[in-house]
Amino acid sequence: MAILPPGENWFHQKVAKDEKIWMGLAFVMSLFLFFWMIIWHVYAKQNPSFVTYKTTPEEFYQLTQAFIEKYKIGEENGIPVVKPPPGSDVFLLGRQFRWEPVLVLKKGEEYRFHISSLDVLHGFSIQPVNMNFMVFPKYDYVLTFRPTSAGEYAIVCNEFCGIGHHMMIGKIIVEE
Amino acid sequence: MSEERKTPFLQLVFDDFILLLFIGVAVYAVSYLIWGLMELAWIPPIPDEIKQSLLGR
Repeated sequence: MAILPPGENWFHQKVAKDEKIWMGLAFVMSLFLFFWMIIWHVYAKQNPSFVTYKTTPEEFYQLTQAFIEKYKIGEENGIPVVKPPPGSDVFLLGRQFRWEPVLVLKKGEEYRFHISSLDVLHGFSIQPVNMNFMVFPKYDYVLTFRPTSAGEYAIVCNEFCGIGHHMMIGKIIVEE
Repeated sequence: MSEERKTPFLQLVFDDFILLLFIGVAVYAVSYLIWGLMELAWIPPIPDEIKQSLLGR
């Protein structure tokens, strides 16, 4: 019986049948869990695929400013409001303590979000849908995003980033 | 004395549960660290097409 401690020089003894069954079951279970990760990723749609690029805060700031200049349609509380065409690259910058720009998107259209931080670690959290992503300085996190319902969504920072963290709220407007 | 068999090396390893505990933690700590460093090293810069489309150069 495998449950009893093995005697001296057990290494060359034959493995008992029940132990082999347990090893087989553990192997099958680990294979199942391995493939479940892939199945979950494809079908559960809870872990979106993303791409990451290296950047610098200066470069990302420059790109965001160019993006804002190109598609700006107005301003809200000093923050530019931008309406990029569907299918385009969208730049969103997190900094202490604001998100910019405010984005106006079209329902059902796909956008490539580029998100990065100018200073410290921030959390990109779309509410009330509750999607959460970490936003690092020096890395451009690219997320393919298709808004499926119209309305106003808040972008909340969900990584404590300093004294004004609780005021760091951005906005995405999804139009019909 | 000549009939006394030497304990196999792997048996010594498998019988030492503190060593197994250490190996179980250390192997994953080191391999995940290396994996993470490799991932970080292989991140590409933002493609030029994207930069050109906005900055025009």
